[in-house]
Amino acid sequence: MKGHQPLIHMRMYGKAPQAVTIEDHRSLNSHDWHLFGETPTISVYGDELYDIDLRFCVDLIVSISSFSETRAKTLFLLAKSAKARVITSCVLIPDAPHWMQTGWSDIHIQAHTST
Amino acid sequence: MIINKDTVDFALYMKETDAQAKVKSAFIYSEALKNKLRLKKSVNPIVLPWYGQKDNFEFRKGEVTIWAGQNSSGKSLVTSQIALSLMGQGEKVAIASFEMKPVTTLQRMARMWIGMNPMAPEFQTDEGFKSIDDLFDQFSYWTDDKLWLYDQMGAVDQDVIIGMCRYCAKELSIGHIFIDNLATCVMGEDDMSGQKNFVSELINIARDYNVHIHLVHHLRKPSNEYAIPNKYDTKGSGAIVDLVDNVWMVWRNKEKEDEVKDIGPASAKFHDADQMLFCRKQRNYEGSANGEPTIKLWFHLDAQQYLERAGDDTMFFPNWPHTRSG
Repeated sequence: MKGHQPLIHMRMYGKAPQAVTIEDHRSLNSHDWHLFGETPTISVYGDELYDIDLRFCVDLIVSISSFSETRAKTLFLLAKSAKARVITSCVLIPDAPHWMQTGWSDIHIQAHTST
Repeated sequence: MIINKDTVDFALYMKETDAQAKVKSAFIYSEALKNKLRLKKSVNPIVLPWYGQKDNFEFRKGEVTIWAGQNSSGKSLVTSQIALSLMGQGEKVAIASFEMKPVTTLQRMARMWIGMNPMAPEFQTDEGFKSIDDLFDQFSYWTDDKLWLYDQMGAVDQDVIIGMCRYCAKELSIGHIFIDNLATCVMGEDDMSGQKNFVSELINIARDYNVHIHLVHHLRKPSNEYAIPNKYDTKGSGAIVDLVDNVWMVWRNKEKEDEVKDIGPASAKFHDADQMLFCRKQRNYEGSANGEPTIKLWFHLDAQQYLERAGDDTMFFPNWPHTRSG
């Protein structure tokens, strides 16, 4: 996983972004999003799904994309069990334009979490 | 990016959910499961030197194997031959023998590798010395970047061994580490918890660094010298056998040796195997052959190799299968 450490630090200091993007493909900015004030972007490309811990997503809006339906579904479940507030997850079809993206997608909205 | 005050006490949340995060739905493993099956078909398994056993046993990464036997039952010879075979199969090997100097270990391995006795009379001439030197040079070149030896004899602190294993796995990318033997790493035969802890630590290293660790271990004194051992005969803590992934018992047919010494080829045991290897445990075997094989071996005195059949050609380790034709 790449890009999650600055987000965890931020949250440990009591700050939270509104949203986080989880990319299961080669990511352009997961390594330096925090340096440019961009939306937190976490890359899970190449990671074993059972090793991925998405607890940094608690109470955040999470957007997930993957080229694999199994991985998109699993990441969706992981974000759900980590109590993300809103989750969107979708499968990307390689080389297809945006308007032809007809892969699996799902949305989940969770009741407000308080700990 | 819009940053707000966090509505969640994140540190507390992480602490409270630490155990929960480790309880995972089986669905999460489906991709890994499929990959594993696919990988299984495409990757050549690392196997025993004896070709007839290629489907029966596999040296998997992340496992620990025990090689147990009585004193002078041939454990070190068997493990040396296996180490050569592993190198022949493209693996990197480290040997930590606390009973033999590195040069003695190498001398044995070199003899196995060249498949001849360098002390034989035909090599005791100037020409003979030169040809042996050439063969030993070839052996040395062949072992370059394949074989490492840990240079220490006698008792050793177990933390040092653990450190050595980590270094070999992490820095040298070695795939197989041989430790000969457990008794030299844990002080006191009755230190059961020390033995258990040491073996547990080796198991952790094997899993964390994806290496295979081979641990040589002694057996309790047998009721008689000819008795065939079972896995409950291992010395010390019984937990050792429970913890490790694979257990091999090494047994030398001394009864045959004694009879043949006395009466020669007239002995009824003359054609029996010289050595037997009994697999008493193979935890992760997934094949459809015999997962706990018994292997009969015949000793080639000049080459110091164990062969599958009496009269077989000696093994040629640079090739796999270990025949000259590959």
